[in-house]
Amino acid sequence: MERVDIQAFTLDKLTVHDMVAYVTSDQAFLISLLHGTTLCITRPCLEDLLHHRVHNETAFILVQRGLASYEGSRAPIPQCGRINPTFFLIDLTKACNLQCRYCFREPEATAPHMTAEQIDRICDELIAYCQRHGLSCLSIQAWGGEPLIELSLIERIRHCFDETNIALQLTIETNATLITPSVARRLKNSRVEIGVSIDGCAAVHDAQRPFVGGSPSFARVREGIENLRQAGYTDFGSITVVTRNTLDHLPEVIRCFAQELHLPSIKLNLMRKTDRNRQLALDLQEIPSYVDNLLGELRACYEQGISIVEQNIAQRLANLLFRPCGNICNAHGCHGGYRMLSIGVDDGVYPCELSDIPSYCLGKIGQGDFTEMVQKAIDAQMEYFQPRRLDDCGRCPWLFYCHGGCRSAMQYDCGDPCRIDATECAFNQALYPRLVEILMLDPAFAQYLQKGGC
Amino acid sequence: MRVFSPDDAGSLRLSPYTRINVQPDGLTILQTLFEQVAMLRCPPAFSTQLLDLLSRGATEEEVLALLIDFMHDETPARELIDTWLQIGVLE
Repeated sequence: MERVDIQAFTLDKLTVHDMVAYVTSDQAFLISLLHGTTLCITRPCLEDLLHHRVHNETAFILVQRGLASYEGSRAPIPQCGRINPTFFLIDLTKACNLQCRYCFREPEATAPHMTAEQIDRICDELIAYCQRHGLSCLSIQAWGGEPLIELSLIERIRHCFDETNIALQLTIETNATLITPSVARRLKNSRVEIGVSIDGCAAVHDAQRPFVGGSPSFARVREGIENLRQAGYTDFGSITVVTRNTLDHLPEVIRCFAQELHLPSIKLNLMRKTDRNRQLALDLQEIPSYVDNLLGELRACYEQGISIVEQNIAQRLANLLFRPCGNICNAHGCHGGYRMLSIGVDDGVYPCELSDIPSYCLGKIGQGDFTEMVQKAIDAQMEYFQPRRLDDCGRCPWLFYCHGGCRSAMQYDCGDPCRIDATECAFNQALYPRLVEILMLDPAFAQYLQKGGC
Repeated sequence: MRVFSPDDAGSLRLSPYTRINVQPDGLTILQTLFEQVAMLRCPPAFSTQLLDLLSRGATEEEVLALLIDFMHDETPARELIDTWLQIGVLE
């Protein structure tokens, strides 16, 4: 597959914008550098475009897809820049019963946690915020530490919102070791959506997610998953941190998820570097082969008729196909502060759950409206909100979707949230061209990668 | 995924940049690039029939025939197609 750069040009009142085309023998996949929109065209149509010959019909669809514009026509609506947080993380506790080797958080001897009264106050603030801004739905993720250590507080959040007409999506990411049959039923009763953190087969999981004290946790996670199923959960997802250990065992990890645990939805996130255990994270040059291997394992599942969706791949395919901007973390870069906020044990409001350091505190619960807190921090040029330095991105076709990647990861990695997230960049550079190729040459596999099913 | 060629421009399709909401009393389509909203008062069965046709791709005559059958009038049916093309719901 050849990459062809198409520079912007103007024909009378039509301006064709900067694009990159990925070209096969009979098709070309166009990607707008400005708007992240795409269009697949035939090879003769591409040849016309390269020679600045644009049929009326081609001009019309280019304009409709935001790849061109007529003088005076509107540009596609930008996807960032509006301060409208609707996803809130509530940091219930800093306590955790696991001691993951890559955790961003330092273990604390006396881990603070929220109180019931504090949850009531936070929920009152969130409900008032929804009413002021006319929001009929809101997402809250109970966060930790291990959120199930404070299960009663999760139930309390649901109870607070049940007395309103606000539709609350309540989620947790849990290590699942505390999910007994009774806990699973309580979660189901409180309509809590669940993501289970699990790092693969026992060999990998136990090496990096032991209990505090060092004993293995995989068997308990497996039990927790079974208890969720018994309580009626069928569609929970899983979250995995990919390290060097994963790389060595990727086929077993995917087989475990697909065939032993029957997980319908998995999300494999590359470990980000922190001061602890840097050697566990993949080097940038290892990422392309990881992407190849992951796609290979998913193809094997596809060919064996096993339904499984890897969400990082599915979301990037969706970016290419219809630019949904649904994902907080990988659709048009970081949405910290703009679409998400995190509320800490100290009542502090932060741009995201990983940015809960004092200098990024936007204010305290009860000190004002959330959007005003964010706006004030932007006006005050808080480091977290300063523009990303994207000079090195040049004509990268994936810039629209990535926009520099995760600010918090860079804060942890090098203390500078405005630098380009090199891990995200390497992952996108390796994955997106493969996805374009699959979309053009093997649409049935592309559909499987996006939606599962066989 | 549509592979566009000027030769097949006579075929109408639903833009991928849309979000669809089928309600008991009608069909709402948000065009996400330009934030335009298209609405049609119709029963869910007709919404499904129309969306099926537009997802597969159909000639303007086929879409028009379906709309005329529902609206019993050619003028509003043609206007609807023109409007949906202009706001990027159809391409």
